Amino acid sequence: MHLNYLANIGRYIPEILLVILMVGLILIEATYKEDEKDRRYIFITAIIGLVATFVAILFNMGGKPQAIFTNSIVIDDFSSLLKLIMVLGTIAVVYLSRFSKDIYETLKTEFVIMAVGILIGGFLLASANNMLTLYLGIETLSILSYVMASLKKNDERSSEAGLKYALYGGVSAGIMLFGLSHIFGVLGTIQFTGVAAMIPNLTTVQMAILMPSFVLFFAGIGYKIAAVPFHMWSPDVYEGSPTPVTTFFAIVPKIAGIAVLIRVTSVFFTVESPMKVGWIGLMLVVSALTMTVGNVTAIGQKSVKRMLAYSSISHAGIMMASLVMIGDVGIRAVLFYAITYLFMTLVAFYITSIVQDKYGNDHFDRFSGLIYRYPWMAVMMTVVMFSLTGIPPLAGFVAKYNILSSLINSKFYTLAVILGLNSVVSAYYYLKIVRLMVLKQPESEEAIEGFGFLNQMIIVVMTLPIFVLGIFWETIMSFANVSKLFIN
Amino acid sequence: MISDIFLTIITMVFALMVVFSKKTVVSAFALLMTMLSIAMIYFQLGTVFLAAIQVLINAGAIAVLFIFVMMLINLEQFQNNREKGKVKLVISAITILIILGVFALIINNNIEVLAVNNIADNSMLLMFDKLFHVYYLPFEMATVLLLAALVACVVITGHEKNAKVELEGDKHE
Repeated sequence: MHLNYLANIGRYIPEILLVILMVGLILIEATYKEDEKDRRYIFITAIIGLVATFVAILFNMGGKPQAIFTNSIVIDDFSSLLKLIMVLGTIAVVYLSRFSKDIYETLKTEFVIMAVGILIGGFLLASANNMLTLYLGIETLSILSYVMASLKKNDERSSEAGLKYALYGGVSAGIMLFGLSHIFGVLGTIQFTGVAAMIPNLTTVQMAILMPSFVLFFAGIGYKIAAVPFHMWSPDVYEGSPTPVTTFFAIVPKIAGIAVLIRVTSVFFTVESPMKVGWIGLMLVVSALTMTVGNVTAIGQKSVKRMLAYSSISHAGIMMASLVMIGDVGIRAVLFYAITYLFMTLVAFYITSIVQDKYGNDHFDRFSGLIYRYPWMAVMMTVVMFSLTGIPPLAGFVAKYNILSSLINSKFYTLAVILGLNSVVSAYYYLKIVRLMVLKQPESEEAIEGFGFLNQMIIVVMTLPIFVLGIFWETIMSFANVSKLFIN
Repeated sequence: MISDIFLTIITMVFALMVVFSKKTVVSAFALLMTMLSIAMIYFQLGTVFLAAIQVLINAGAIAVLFIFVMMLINLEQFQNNREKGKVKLVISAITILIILGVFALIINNNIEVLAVNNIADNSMLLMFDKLFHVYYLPFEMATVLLLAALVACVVITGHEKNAKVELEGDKHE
């Protein structure tokens, strides 16, 4: 038994590294004197630790998929790939927070510590194999998120965002626990495979209890990925939080939520059963609603950050759409989408954050005439906006096309039509920024300090994958193809 | 047997003190003692785990929470605030009826109230066997969650220099 644990630890090195990193960062933070402003070592340590985690996950990939720690956790290529995306996102956000003016200087170190903490929660979620681990992951993710949202303590909207997030989060966690306890009560197991084995042959009474329980269970996850109708918190939180925090929220919790949703769907509902029909129906309705509400509300927004928040809701809807095709096709499509989503979100938020630092707000007008002053940045922003809309030959097109074609192959025509219409609608607000940047005259000639040489380079480097994935998508697709889910 | 009766009496006395004491702090203290003596009864029955949980959670956390709340609010204004009149009478009557009904039910059906010998106490063993074997990882990860919560608390309650400046600015206005 004890030797077993030691053997398991070998596959669990990324998470252990992260925990050590978090504790180490807290210790380093404590050794700084209060008047020391430039706390460089925290950032250096964090970046090195995150890169080490990245490498550790890479080593983990390609190995035999394995359920470790008495089946609490599954280490497979699927979870590893999503963890890679989360770590990349965190590294980029930690760098963004370093020069952003939206977070108080004194709280930047705490931001890094909390980001690592949330990442641990995301890792737990991505490879959860029973309800307990899942719940722990969601809580670790949430508790730190609440505080992160209210990091701008003097700002009313930031405090409001934090409080709103905490209240909604508490309620939805309660609802989810209620559903989970009923599932446990009826089936007598919290292990995913145990639940999956019992789902095809349920009695009518059990079904009557389990159907609403699964809806309640979904409420908890749906809240984390801001699926309609659990999205109310999202725009306020995204707008009120400091921009690096918003960037972080758009990536790590969302990817983690999608990961756990994919795992739950494809473990529980492989065999035909009334429960499966119900779940797919739920996913169909929720994903169609999420896409549409996100897109339609994004049209009227004046703040770019809020627009990106709504757009990220609709992207979560699109990722959910690929869940209705239970099986490898859907998983492959969603993995590819997640990779492109990471880079698109990062670039869009980097540029928005830098512009906002200069002008103090992020209205659409602040982007006017950007092409005459910072041509490279304007081009990169245009590329990202085109990619978010889904215009070939960029990565966003391939990702959307993938989901669309597999939806049509699986005969979900209605959802495919809704997805297509939504892409058209989204073109309006994405291209609005492009129009302002190119066709309007600049408001002022003042230099934006954030667009230094290094930052411009980093933004260009982050945009490159959008081109590369759009053209050489087959390589990545085969990479996503082998990242299969492991069920044990 | 004597210790049983002794514990029962102590529990009852403290429970009554909770209700009838005029001073809120004494009530809170009596509540704490009630919890502790109930824990003692659990010990007597041989359910060690339940007793430990009772001490930790009810006596430890909840009673302390009560006292904290009392320290935070102004007690003076609540002193003569007790409900009087018919409502009180009706509620008392209903409560007494329910209690008598439960007693009648127990006596009527010969329910074995104190089945001391039937309880084999391996609850602790089972519990921790699960915790350290089957649910080893969630147990360890819960510590990370607690650490995260601790960091969150420190960040959210920590004083900001900027905040202080703004507060002082408000005062001047």
